[in-house]
Order: sequence, then structure tokens, then C-alpha cells
Amino acid sequence: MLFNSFTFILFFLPVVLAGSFVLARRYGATVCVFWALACSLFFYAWWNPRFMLLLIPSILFNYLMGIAIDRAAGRTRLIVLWASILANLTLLGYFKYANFLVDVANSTGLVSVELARVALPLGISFFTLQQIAFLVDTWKGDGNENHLPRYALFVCFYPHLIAGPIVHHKGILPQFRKAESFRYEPERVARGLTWFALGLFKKIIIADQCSLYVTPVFDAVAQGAHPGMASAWMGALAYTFQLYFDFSAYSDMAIGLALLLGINLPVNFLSPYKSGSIIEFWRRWHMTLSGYLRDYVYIPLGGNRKGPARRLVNLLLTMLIGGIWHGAGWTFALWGALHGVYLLINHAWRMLLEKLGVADWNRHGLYRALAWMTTFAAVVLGWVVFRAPSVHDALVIGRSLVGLGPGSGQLSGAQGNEFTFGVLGVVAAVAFFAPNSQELMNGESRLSWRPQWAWAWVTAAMFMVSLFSLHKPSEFLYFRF
Amino acid sequence: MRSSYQRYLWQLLALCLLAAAIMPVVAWYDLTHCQEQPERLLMQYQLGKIDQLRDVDTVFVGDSSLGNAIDAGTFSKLSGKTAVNLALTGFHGYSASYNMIRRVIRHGAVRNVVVVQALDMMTRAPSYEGYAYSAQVMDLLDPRAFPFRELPSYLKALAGIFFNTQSLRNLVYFWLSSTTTPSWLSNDYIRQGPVRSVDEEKLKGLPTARIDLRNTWFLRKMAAYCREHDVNIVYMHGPTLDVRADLSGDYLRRVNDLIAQAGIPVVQQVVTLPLSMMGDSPLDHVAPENKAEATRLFWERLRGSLR
Repeated sequence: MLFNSFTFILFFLPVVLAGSFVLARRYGATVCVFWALACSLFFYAWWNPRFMLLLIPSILFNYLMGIAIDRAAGRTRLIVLWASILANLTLLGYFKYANFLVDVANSTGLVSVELARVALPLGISFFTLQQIAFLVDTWKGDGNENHLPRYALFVCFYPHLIAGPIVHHKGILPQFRKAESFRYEPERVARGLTWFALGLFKKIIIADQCSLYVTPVFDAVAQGAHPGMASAWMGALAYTFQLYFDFSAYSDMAIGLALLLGINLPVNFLSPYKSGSIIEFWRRWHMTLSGYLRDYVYIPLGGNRKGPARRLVNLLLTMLIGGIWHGAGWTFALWGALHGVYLLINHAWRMLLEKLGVADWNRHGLYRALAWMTTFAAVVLGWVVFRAPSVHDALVIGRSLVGLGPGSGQLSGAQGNEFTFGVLGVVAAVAFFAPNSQELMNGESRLSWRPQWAWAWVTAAMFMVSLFSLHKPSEFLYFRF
Repeated sequence: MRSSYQRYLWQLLALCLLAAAIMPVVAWYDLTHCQEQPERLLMQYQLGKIDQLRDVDTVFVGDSSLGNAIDAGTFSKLSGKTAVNLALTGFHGYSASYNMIRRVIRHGAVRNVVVVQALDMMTRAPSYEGYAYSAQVMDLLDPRAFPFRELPSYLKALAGIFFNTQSLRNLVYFWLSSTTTPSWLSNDYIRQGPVRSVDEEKLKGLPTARIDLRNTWFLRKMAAYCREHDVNIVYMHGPTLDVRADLSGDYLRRVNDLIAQAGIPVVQQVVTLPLSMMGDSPLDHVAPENKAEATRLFWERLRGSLR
């Protein structure tokens, strides 16, 4: 069941909300946890009930491991932690990477292994990461939950289950315990619905429109075509904006849906394409993943505590792991490595400026504009690698982007015309200059949301235009990761 | 403060309900006034023929394979009896054929109904949009028109027609557009376009595994309706590229069995044609210059089945 489907909006959501509000008033939060858990499991099973055979044992296993770690002492505690992390990674590795690794092994010609195609269970990357964080924090003595339904709901709460934001147990579990959660609160419902409408609009009207210009270019390249410079830029820019509006739309909708039940989810995007450096970009893009990688990969690897050289290696490794987490393929690894290199260059540049005593250059408008342009171009190039079906295809598009491709003019099916660039220009203006969802919903500016007529009109218009446009709901891009 | 949020929610609800009330009106206006697309013009054109009908011997219903293959005038001459071709498109599917049959029979006397659909029609999902676009108003609300389990799909199709921003875009485009619609009609059907290349996959023949059994629902409905009104109904596959037909033997036998089980006699011999005789869609569209010849081939195969 997709958030952007009639089934979800007109049937599932009203039933969940009505049930929650009634139960919260009569029985309190604990009963509501059961209700929300049942609804979340139903939501997950809607795609494929067989996936429950993975989700439920995973929850039970990690819950029991959490208890075991909590009760164990000394060296046993560490052994149980590593065993449980290994089990989680094995599960993720099998479902996400087994086919890829077998293909790679077979392609060397040294072995011939046959493995049936393994279906990737939805959300496995997200719920596995969240549970590993829970186990690590339990080991540190920083997290514990002995109420199984509450723990299960933390893992599979339907707003974030499939594509994040990656939630932290310390941020979510206490909210499930609060008596006022799950109750009908006009403010939370008003805010939640507005968040949801905003996300729905971004997905249906902006992201899906961009996708029309992405597929022809990347598909044509996959079939051996060589795009001209204009087509390559059109495909690359369209994907850059599609991914942002698609994924941030999902996050907005997730935040809104959780808020309707009185649960606050973390913000995941803060206008990443306004960033003036790659370091800043990663503070604004998929923030919950960046935070996770920082806390559970980069810092455990040593972070910046073991000297500048080791810090750079740790950064590179962290980004590589982040890339591979997104999917089984060389393009994802390359994308992660590319961003790792970007970060190295960014840090080296900062050190150089400090050494030269010109660190205040970033106060100058021209410097900031150049920095923004360089950052955005680097990000676009990264997305080409991320989206391309193969490294070779990424190189073909990359060459075309800089005018070195053999192709010229347009691809058939891809309109590199003024209209397309006009649409992308409008979308770009929104991404570069408009306030982001967080600023709109929680900011203090004149444009920020208030419970007034004008916002009611805007929200109703966004919601109804989106609703009347979703006759063929399309999946969110991050469902694949 | 609480009341301002409460008021906001009521405002939101009221505005959404208002939009939901206005949208079907816009869609209805779009459907009835903005005749730009060939499919809509075709529907109006064929409904216009039904309005003119008085007493007819043979009515053809089906998709574009029919529209491009049978010339009603030629068929009338060959059979010595009146014939009308009410072909719609593949988008409309069996469900629209059922509606067209009901429209014709309700309108006046008819002796034979011949259903002609492309060979692969049984592999396509039932078209509930096609049903909605071709239904008379009361038929839109007929709960017996669908199996109960298909009701969500039908409601989705209705929502797709009556709650769709496309209607609004059509309306704006229609009002702003100063150009006149290019002539869409040729040879009693939609004018053919440039020849499309044939997908290699489609030349491999049709597998029985792709048959969508839900289609038999509308075939049974057609058979029952014609039986109830004492009208002879016959099914014949549309003209098919010879290579494809040759490779679809098992599929053809299975489909013919299903159609016969639904209560419609099937003309077993398919009109197969070489690539040189085909038109813009080489799998099932006869080229305009070969329409008369294709009509003759159809008449030869059908003559024993008509009253």
C-alpha cells in the first residue's frame, strides 16, 4: 500500500486514525500501541504477506538479543552484541547482496554458482539499521525496551517502515509511552494533514513530472544510445530533482502521518541543493542516514580521533558503506566512493584555506556562488552514477554532460526542448529558492504555516490536485533501497 | 488556540468536499463538450450511427482490428443485407462491446451481432474505463455489471474519469486552443498513422498463460443478453498477421474453448494476412487499401453463422 494511493488515503488512514483516537480516549496509550502495531503489520503485509515471515522473526530476534545483551556482563555482553549484529548483517546481506555477489563471482569465470533470484523484502535496509543501532546502544547501556509490542512498533511503525526516516529508539520509544500520544489533538492533526498534503503534492505533481524526462534518457543509454549534451543534462537534472522531491516528499508524508498519531519523526531534508559544500550537503540530505553513519560507522571506526590521515580513510570507508547500503551494484559503490572523495577534497580545501589564512572567503558572495555551483555540479554527477544501470552507462552520460560524447542532438523519446528545460527551471527554482517543508511548517516567517484560511486553501488545493492526479500511483524511489 | 486549529480542520474539510463536488461536473462537461481526442470522437461517431439505426441485419462490435478490417458497405453488398460497423478501440475492450450491444438492441431490431476483437484481447485486463465511457447513465450504476470482487477496480476507473485533473487540463486546453481538430476519420474509422515497428516479442506467438480469465465475464454477459433478446451472436477474431497466428495455435484453441463456454459460437477460421497487407499496426490492422479484400474474407467465414 503506497501513501500516494486511494486505498491508503481513503480507507487505511481514516480507519487507523479513527481507531487510534477512540482507543486513546477510552483505554490510553498502551492499547493504542497494540492498535498501531496491528495496523502497521497490516500495512506491511499488504504488499506481500510472505515478507512478514522475515519482519516478525527479525523483530523477535533483536528484542531477545537486546534483553540478552542487557542481562549479560563482561566479555559475554560484547560477544552477544557481535553475534546479533552479524546475524542482522547476514540477513541483510543475503536478501540484498547475494544475487549481486553470485553474479560477480560467476563473471570471473572461476566459479559457476546458481542462485534463484532473491526478492528484496521492502524496508529491510531500514529496519535492520534501526535494530542494529538499538542493540549497540543497549550494549552501551543507553537503550533498553522490555515491552515487546512497543519495541515492535518502534521497528515497524508504518509511517517510517518502508523508506525511513531512520528513527532512533531514544527518539521514538519514549513517545509511545506518553499518555497524550495517539489522542485526537486538533493542532497535531492540522499540522499532520498539512505535512501530508505538502508531501503528496511534491511527489505527484513535481517528482512524477520530473520522472517523465528521466526514463527516456537513461533507458536509451542502457540500450546503447549516446545522448547529446542537452539530452544528457536534461536526464541528469531531471533525476536530480526527481530524487529530491520524491524522497523528501516521502519524508514529509511520513512526518505528517506520524504527527496525526501524536508521534514526532525527525526531519530528513533541509534544502540540500542550497548547500555551499559537500560537507553541508550531507548535513541537509537524508539527515537521518547521515547521522546514523556518523554515529554507528564513522565514530566506531575512529572518527577524527586517530589523526588526519586516518580520519580521511574513515570518511571514505563510511561513504563507501553508505553507497553500498543503497543497493547491490557497482554504481552504488562508486557513488559512495565518489562522495567519499568529494568529502576528502572538501576537507582538504578547508584546511588549505585555513593554512593560507583566508578561511573567511566564504563570506564573499562570489565565492559562495562558485562554491554552490561546484557543489551542485558534483552532486548531479553523483546522481548520474547512482541512477545509471551500469558504470559504463554512467560514463557515457558523464562524457555527454561535458560535451565529449559522440552523440549530438536529441534522443528519440527524449525531448531536450525548451519546454522540458522550462519545467525543470521552475522545479529548480523551487528547490533552490523556496522555503523547505521544515521552514514552512515550523518556521516563523510570514509564509510559514498558521491555522488560517489562506493555508486551508493552499493545503486543500495541494491535497485535492494531488488526489485527482494519482490514478496510476508510482512507487517512491527509496522503496528500492 | 485549540479552536483555531479546529476551525482550520473544518475549513480544510469544507474546501476538499467542495472540490470533490465540482470535479465530476467539470469531468462531465469535458466528456460531453471537449471532443478533441480521436477515441472520443469515434465514440460519438459510433453512437451517432446507433441513433440512425432502424432495422439492421448485422451489427459488428469490437476494437480497431474490426474498424480497420470490415467495410460495412462492402459487407452489405456481399451479404445482400444491411450491416453496421460499430468498432471502438482496444482500450475499450469486451466491456464496451457489451455496452454497445445493449445500446443497439435497446434501440431497435437487430438479427446478428458479430464480436470482432484482436487475437490478444483475452490477454488484456478487463477495461473498466472502457465500460464507463461506453455505458448509458443507468448502466454506470448497475451493480450486476461486474463480479463483486472487481468492484474496487471499477470504482477506481470511475474515479479516474470523474475525479481527474486531466479533465481540467482538457477543458483549459480546449478553450485556449485555436486550432481545429485535423480530420480524424477515414474509411469509416480512425485514420491510420505511420507504420509502427513490430516488437520481436509479439512475433513469438501468444502463450496460454497470459489469458486473463476475468474477460469471460463480459463474454457471458453478451451471450446472455443476446439470448434474452433472441439475437444471434457470433465471435470472430480480428485479422492477424500470419506469423503470429501460426505461432499461437495452443492459445487460439484455449481462447476459442473459453468463448464457446461463455455461450458465444466462435468462427474457428481466423483471417490471417501477410505483412504486405497490414497497416499501421502490423499485428492486427489491415492496410486501408486492403479493407475490401479483408471484408470479403470475413464474409466467407461468417456466412454460415448469420441469420
